[in-house]
Amino acid sequence: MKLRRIFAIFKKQILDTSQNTGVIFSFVVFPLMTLMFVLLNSNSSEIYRMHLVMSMSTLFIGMTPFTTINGIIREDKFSNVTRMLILSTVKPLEYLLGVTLYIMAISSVIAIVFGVIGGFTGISLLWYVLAIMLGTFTSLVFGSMLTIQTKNPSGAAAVVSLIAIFNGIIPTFASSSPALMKVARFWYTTQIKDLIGDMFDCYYGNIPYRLLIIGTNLAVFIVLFTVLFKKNRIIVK
Amino acid sequence: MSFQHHMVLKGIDLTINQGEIFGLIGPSGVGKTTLINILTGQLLPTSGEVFVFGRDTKQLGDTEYSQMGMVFDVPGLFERLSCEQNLSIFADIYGIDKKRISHVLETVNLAASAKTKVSRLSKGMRQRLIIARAILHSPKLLFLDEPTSGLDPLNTSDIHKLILSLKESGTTIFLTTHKMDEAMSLCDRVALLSEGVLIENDAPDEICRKYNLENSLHILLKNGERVILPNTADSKETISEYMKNEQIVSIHSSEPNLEDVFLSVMKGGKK
Repeated sequence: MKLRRIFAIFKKQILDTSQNTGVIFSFVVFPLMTLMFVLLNSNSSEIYRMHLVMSMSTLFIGMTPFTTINGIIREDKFSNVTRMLILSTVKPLEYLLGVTLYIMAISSVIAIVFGVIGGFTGISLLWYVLAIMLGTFTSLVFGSMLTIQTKNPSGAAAVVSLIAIFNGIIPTFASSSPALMKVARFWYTTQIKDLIGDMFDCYYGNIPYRLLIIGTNLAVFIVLFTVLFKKNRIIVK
Repeated sequence: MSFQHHMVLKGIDLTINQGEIFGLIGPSGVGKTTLINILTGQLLPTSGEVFVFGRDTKQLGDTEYSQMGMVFDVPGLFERLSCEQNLSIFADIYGIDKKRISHVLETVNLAASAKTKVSRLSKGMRQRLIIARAILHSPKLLFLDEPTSGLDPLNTSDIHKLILSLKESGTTIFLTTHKMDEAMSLCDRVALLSEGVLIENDAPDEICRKYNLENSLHILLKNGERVILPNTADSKETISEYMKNEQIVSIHSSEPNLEDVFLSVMKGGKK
């Protein structure tokens, strides 16, 4: 594994993003909406702002990294970009790490924006950003896992969109449905939302429990990703 | 090589010599791209062994791939980026000096379009960019899969000149084509692939000579008469007589060109 190849993929994505308004939009839509709602309700309470940031950042984590990595890999896979990269000495894992690094970098900037809107400062902002990054990374592994076994690009786009909506919205629905919460609490986006809620409340008692569930989700995705990656790779056969 | 019990390539046995342009010719769908995919390690043969740079293609690694350049029918370019940016990313991947990018763009006559987005390039320009990417890291072995397919004569001629200049600089070139004139003018050696089997494997002139069954001379005289004489010593007096009387407009041997050989082989003709 060579760092220069990972950074080459990272650079490719950064250059591509500057020419790709769709991707830019998918990253900024949730923080922009949050900012807009905050400005429109300038007299709103601290609780309103807290719930808004909590819901919007969970939507961001559940949907944006998931659909973005899917879109990038799918486009590169079916336009034979990944094939040319691999034949030019780039390892499939280096490619995935480059794309992951790119999404993580942009997501960290978005997380800071969310954090500032939410009123986090100093060390609490750092913890908030780390929580968002943990959720983003879990979504990326989950998204990569589904994408690498894609054989039909248009069919995959439809499935991924539906899963992304489920992924982003389920924590919000579960918070008002105890029955749904019984299941949804084992899903990482629900725990990320609650983790952010704990941060707002400055309550840290549940953090080990939440991290355990998020970690278990991540571990399962990594195992499944490894199995599917060995079987499918990232090129059209 | 077989796909779902259908044999695509059978008993292929060939060696590519360093520094030569080797042409694999055959009609579409005969297995040319499959053979390139095997040689580049993208497909594994169902039986037999394939070695590139002395290494089994099942074990090709960075050392081998960094000495190989490839031009395929599927471009795999970064469509939203410029020509220069496309090459810049591959320069980063190979760890080579960025100065090489402008040199390569000049070589393929794309320097003026360095900042142009790939999506705005014409087919000929895209093909030249794909070649630029393939030669960016100065590979020792270049695979060209139908590099002039669908291009106009001017772009084709430019690419031919480029291929010949690469050969002069010592690059070994493996070329597939179904254009016989291309194979004839570029290749030191060609192999004719038909139904997954190599029919011929020799210098283009030698192959044409082998298929020259008629072995005669076709003479056009000034009075419009066409004379066919055997290409033997017996004809020398007749030809000498024509020349003395300044009667000859043209003399051609009956030797077929590569296209004639190709058509003959495809129709099941024997030498």
